[in-house]
Amino acid sequence: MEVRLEGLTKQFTETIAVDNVSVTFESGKLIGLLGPSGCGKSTTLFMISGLLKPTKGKIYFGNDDVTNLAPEKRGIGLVFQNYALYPHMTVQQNIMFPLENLKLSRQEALERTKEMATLVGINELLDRKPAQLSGGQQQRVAIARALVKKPRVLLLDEPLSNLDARLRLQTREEIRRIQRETGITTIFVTHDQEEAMSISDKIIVMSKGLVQQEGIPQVVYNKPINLFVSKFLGNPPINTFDGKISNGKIIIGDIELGKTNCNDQNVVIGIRPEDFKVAEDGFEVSITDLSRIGRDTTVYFNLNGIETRALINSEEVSTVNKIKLKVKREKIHLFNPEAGDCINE
Amino acid sequence: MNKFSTFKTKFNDLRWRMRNYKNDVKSLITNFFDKIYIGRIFKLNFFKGMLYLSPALILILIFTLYPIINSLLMAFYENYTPVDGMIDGFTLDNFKSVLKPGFLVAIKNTALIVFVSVPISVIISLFISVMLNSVKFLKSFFQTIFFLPYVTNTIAIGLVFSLMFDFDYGLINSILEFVGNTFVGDFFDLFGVTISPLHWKDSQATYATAMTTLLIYTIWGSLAFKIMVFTAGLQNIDKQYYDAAKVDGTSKWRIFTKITVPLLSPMIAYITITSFIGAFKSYTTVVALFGETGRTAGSVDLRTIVFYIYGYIMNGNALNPGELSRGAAASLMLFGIILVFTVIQMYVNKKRVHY
Amino acid sequence: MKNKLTIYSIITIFSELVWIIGSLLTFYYFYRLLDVPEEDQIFDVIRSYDFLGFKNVPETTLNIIMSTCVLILLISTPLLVMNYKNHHTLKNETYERETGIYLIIAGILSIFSLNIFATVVCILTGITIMIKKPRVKIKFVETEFEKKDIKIKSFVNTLLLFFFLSIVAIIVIVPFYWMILTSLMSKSNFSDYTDMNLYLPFSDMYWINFKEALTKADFGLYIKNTLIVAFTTTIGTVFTTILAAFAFSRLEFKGREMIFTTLLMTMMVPGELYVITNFVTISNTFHWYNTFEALIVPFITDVFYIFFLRQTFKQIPDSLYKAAKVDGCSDLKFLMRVMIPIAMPTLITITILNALGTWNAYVWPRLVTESDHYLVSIALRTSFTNSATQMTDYRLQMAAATIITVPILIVFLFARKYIMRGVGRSGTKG
Repeated sequence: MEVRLEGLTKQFTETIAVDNVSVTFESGKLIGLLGPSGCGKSTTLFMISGLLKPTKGKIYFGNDDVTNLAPEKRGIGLVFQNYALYPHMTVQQNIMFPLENLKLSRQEALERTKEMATLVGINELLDRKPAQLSGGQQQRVAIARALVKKPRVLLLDEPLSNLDARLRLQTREEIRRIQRETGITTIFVTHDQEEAMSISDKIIVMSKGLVQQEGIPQVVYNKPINLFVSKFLGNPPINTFDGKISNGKIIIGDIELGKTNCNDQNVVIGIRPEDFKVAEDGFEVSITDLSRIGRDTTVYFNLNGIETRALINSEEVSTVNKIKLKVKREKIHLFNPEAGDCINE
Repeated sequence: MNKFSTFKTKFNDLRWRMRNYKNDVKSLITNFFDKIYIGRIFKLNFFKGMLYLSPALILILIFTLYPIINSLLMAFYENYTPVDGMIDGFTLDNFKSVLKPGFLVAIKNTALIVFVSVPISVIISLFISVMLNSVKFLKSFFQTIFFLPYVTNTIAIGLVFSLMFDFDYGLINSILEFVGNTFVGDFFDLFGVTISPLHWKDSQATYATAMTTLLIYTIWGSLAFKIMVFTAGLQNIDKQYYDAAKVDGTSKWRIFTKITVPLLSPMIAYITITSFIGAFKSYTTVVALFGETGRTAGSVDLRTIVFYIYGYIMNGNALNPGELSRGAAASLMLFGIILVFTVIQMYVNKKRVHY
Repeated sequence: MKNKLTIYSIITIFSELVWIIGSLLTFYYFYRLLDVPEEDQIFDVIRSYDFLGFKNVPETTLNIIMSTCVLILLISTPLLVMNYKNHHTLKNETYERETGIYLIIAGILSIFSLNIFATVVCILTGITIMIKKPRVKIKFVETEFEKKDIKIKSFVNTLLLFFFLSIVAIIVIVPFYWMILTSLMSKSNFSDYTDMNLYLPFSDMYWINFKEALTKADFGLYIKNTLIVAFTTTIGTVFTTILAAFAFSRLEFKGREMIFTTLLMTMMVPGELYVITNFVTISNTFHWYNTFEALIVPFITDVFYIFFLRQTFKQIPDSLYKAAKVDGCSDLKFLMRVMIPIAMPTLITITILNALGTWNAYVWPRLVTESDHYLVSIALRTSFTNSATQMTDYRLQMAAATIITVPILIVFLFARKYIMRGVGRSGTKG
């Protein structure tokens, strides 16, 4: 089921949480809604679910306009950040609860519950209470409860943020698997770019209530449309410098990084840490600090007064104080210093 | 066992089917309302909120809010007769007529109860709670016993006290007589104090003995609640403070005054305020010990302010014109006194309490 | 195949149950048998009874039997409750060595309730557990600081602590003890005040006093009145409180906060202020003077309980509500299926506190009722004093006091947890 938002706006008493958002969530895809906290991503999700009424704009599920439909009539499954399991019911009762409001015989309901429990792998926990489960197990129960109604769209609100680091990796693979197996259109909200990039078919980056960029994760990462997106994606974050273009050359301080055919102007230059390469013909920097983590070494150095990080293959770093670095031209991102937009050649 | 489980499944099936029918009806209704109320969400919410609130709200309006306003007005009515609700106008005389010498005695009695029983019971219960908190073995046993007076009927136990302080049959006098005949009695005789049975509350009782009986019962009855609150408060104090003090070799008394009391000060403040309010309203304790006259047989007057208020209503007095207005005036005065004391307390607490 | 310990524990529980029911029935049988003296007599009359083929059995024998029944009840009931709780651990084999020690103590106590089955089985179970879970020896490494004199000092401190606590406990207990003691005395025993009677032999416990108190002073009627009022007000209060607390915590509508603040402010006004108007409202507007309505209607809601339950409801995460909304759950269904079960402990607290409040009510019932609608507190104060001579029959008064106090004590012992939850937040008593 394709979900389409048209000019969706949500205004709370003073602030505009979501501002004229128009995006399409393709059918059968796992789509990550990404952004820092307070960017309006959860508001968008809740508007899709129907728990919040949009101030303006329309929401379409396929060809149906669901903007004014009550949540239970939209055919959605929603998983909350804290799972929202009913503490006094067993796992089975929790999963069956949504089915009570459907026209189903109890036998069918029980079968569906079993089916979902098998899908998420909690078959043997059906008689326990939520308090007796681990965080990961609770998460699975929440997903099973959301899926048991056979919804058209599955919505996940920060599904991994309450889990510890190890479980998080495991669970996100699990979400990916469940989505693949059911083929349900899934929209999930997260503030963790790594999480979004690793499992999404598509990501939508939001900030200040606006959609900044949408696309396949790797494309968005490699071709950020503006300074915000470039800064938000990537860990360690992108290095930014105040530089300029003069005579078709990209210059930071007195270092020339490459050529361009743009007009002369002041620009913000962004270089991702992993895009620095050791090269004899590069510019020389003096290393201030090193931290080696296995295969990669993070090199800290001062470039034109800015503390810079470079991620370099450990074998290429000797314990010298100075190192010569180079950046490929296509890896240098140029942004307009005022608007923050990417400058295209 | 098998039969039972099949029965259980059947029962659950039935319940489920009932729910299905209910949902059908419900969706019919909600669909209808959805159509009507589109675009009028706000009004629907208000209507719904009021629907849920109304049972409680109507009762509160009739029996709490209206009486407050009405009693305020009533205190200024002249010759108010409750039967036909007629008044002769507004006057301040009600307040004047309340301030008879008898009422001043009531104020004195109440003040004595408030300013003696509250500090003593707060201090005693604080010590008991601290002791209780430092015990592990038999702790819940002691706790249960100390909390008993909280749930018991004030009148019933008051009557027991009344019996215990009886001149002839009372336990207290038996103990006094017993102690007086031992060396302890002889010892006190040296200082001119004779330990012998006292007339606590009968016709020969003096104001001092009657008041002492009342105070003892008041304190006994009020300890439980305070101990409950204090022990709850003590359990919430982080053990680390005590460990730190132990490492420093702080003495027990210093731990008590420098750690326990300051950390417990919000609780102490809460308890003192509520106990003051409660003590200002003492009534049943007096009734339990001295009956509804509030006097001993030797007419020592132990009536409190609340006694006066109820005196205007009880025994058919309410029907006389003007009586209820005087009662309202007296209760307003009580409210005023309580309010002033609470404000003073809060002001003092602001400076002393460590939140 | 169940394990041996489970069977043992079932035997114990069963035998205790039989014992309790048996002694209850026996007590009731003899209680029925007792004759209440018709006239006020100054001296005790030696009564004798015929039953089950026995002739002319003196009342003292009956007293002994009935006292024994009560003793059995006093010992067996707590043991039954504890054994029932233990049953679960024995079934799942999650017991510790302490369970064994406790069971042996329970077995020894059972001797006093003359329950041989329970004694034997309890001790047997205890020993089995002790064998299965041998003592784990832990060696404490004594540090330099733990010198002997410090140990002695702390021992003396603990001893002093227990001494003081025991004294306070005795002071608290004495009135209750005195009440029960007096309630069981015969007339001659009571008026013989030159001796300090600190205990009574079984043969001198006159259980007939209770029967006399219940029948003579019409105390049964007052208990019935109180139960009716307590039951209806509690149901009403729980109903109105749940709805109001739900509205205040979950529904959003204009004026919600304003109404709530107004209600909170009324809690600061002393009740004496509105009693006067309420008296007029009840007796003149509604004409409810001396009816149950007067005792019930004003009390089927309480701002404090609404506030208390609202706090509990507020702690239920909003996401549960949203999740239910997504599943098409109506507000009322959410309240019934999710909020009430979760807030059950608070509701139990409210129920108990409210019922206790009615049980102990004095002032309002006194104002709006006459003798046929009195509640227990008023009846207790007025019924046992002869209006002509101003003489109080202390024995019967204490018997009545015991009758109304003991049930509360039992409720308190079982529901201490719930009562204390409410106390932390409530204001003053009464």
